[in-house]
Amino acid sequence: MMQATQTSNGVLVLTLDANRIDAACAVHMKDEFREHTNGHEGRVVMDLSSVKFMDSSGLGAMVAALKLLKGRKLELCSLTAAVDKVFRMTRMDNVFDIHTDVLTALSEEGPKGADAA
Amino acid sequence: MNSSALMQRSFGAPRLQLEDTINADPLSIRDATVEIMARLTSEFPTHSEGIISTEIVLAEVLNNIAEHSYDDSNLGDIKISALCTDDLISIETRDYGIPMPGLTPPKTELEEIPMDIEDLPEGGFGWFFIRSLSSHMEYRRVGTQNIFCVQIATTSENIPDTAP
Repeated sequence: MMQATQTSNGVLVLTLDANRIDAACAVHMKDEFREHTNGHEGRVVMDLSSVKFMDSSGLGAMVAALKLLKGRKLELCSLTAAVDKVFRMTRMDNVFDIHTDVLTALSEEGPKGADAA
Repeated sequence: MNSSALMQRSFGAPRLQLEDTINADPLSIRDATVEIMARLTSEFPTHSEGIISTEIVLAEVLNNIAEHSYDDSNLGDIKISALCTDDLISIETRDYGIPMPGLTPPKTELEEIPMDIEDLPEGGFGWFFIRSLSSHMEYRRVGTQNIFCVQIATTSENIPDTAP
């Protein structure tokens, strides 16, 4: 349910091609995320422009995906209105790095507010 | 049908009535949600905020029934009815699973975001969404049925204050 591409400077871009992340696919989403990010050390940027709906299970899968990065940031792009709403309501918009779109994300040096560590 | 066709469109008059019975599994829930939302979206094309709220509430109510009432067995009927007026979308579900503990919907507050990412919750936002996005909700146990009613304002902008 996602396409993986790597930019020349080592950013992994995961483009979701599902239009819903819900209870029917949340576990599958997390498993695919794990496969794609396994062994990748650089930034991870997820393009959510195709995702028109996300429920509690879907949001939970996003949190699980973030935890798989072991302390690194998970950057999200192009949140549609319904997805933006669930992130804002649960204040998860403070936990993930959210960009307007992939181009904006890639034009930055690293995750927003990343420590110099 | 004739009487409602003759009814003037006035405050509170029903605009759309839907009924559906589905099996309580995640794919059937997704299909039913998509189908009901397609009908509602064409009826309320300008009420995008209320439509988004309704889709979240509907999906979470159905997920809760599958997960808790039918204990993730993927077996059991859910009867869904929706009734819409100009300013309110009412959804009623009936199922034949186990009653809600304490015969009341859980009170879930949004917890503070923990400092450690490992402590972040991986779900359990369902009741928070339902409570936050609805104007009214009610649960009854009648015989072997769970009956749950929830109402969402079509013009709702019930986003809680997220200021830091």
